[in-house]
Amino acid sequence: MRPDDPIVRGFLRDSFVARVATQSRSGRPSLTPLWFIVDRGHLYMATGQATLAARNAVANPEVAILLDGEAAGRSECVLRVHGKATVHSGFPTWRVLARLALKYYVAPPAARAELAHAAQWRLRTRYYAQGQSAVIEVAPETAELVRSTS
Amino acid sequence: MGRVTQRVDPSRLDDLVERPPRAALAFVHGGCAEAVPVALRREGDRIWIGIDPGVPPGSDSVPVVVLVDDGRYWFDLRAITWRGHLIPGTAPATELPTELRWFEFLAESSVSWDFGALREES
Repeated sequence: MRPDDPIVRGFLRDSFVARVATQSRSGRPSLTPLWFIVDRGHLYMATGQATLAARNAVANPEVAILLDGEAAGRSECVLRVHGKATVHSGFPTWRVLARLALKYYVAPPAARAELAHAAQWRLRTRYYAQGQSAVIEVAPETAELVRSTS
Repeated sequence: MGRVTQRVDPSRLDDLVERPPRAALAFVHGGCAEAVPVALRREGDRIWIGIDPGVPPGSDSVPVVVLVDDGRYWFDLRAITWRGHLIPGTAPATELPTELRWFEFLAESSVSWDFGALREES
């Protein structure tokens, strides 16, 4: 499937966590669950510069991503996207940041989850301050449906 | 002040491993990182991975990573990852989907985290 296929767009819309497979400079695989948003056809994932996902994507930009489309309910298929990653140091652009905030902090279910943990916000701020930010941008090249096994 | 961490002991995520909401496997194939959804069953200390028969890896020498994760929003996110190898062979005793190819997974290391358990290390 092409990355702009309606099925692909549906999975991208209905998925919250991207499971991102990368490989290290020495060829070891890694698999990391990351939040993401889509902007102008590219996936953007905020993470830390020191994370395995970011370091691996710098070393080997070819990545594979699994998306469950979990907001649409359990599916018999999972979308697998192969693409090329670029790692940007620092915070996301305001445009990407706004979309991440809307999807994961402000939308009603997200806001409820946030408010339920208000006592931990300060601790989270300290957690983020411990590392340098990075953004993994992935340009999808191919996409396919693979059978869900769960 | 101590370091703030989301890391937890793997035993705190036993429920996740017993009933994995999402499970996936990563390996390197053809020089590139690859990922597939998998089924996971644990019996005691042994872990079994069910994979679509048409999917590599086919060799027990290939290092793999298994991820089980759950949650959508920040404080709900929790996961466990293991590094190890897949060993083709007998399937576990429990009733399992027969259309999958089952491997025993030999874990060499694991990392687990639960953002709802965020805390300052002492």
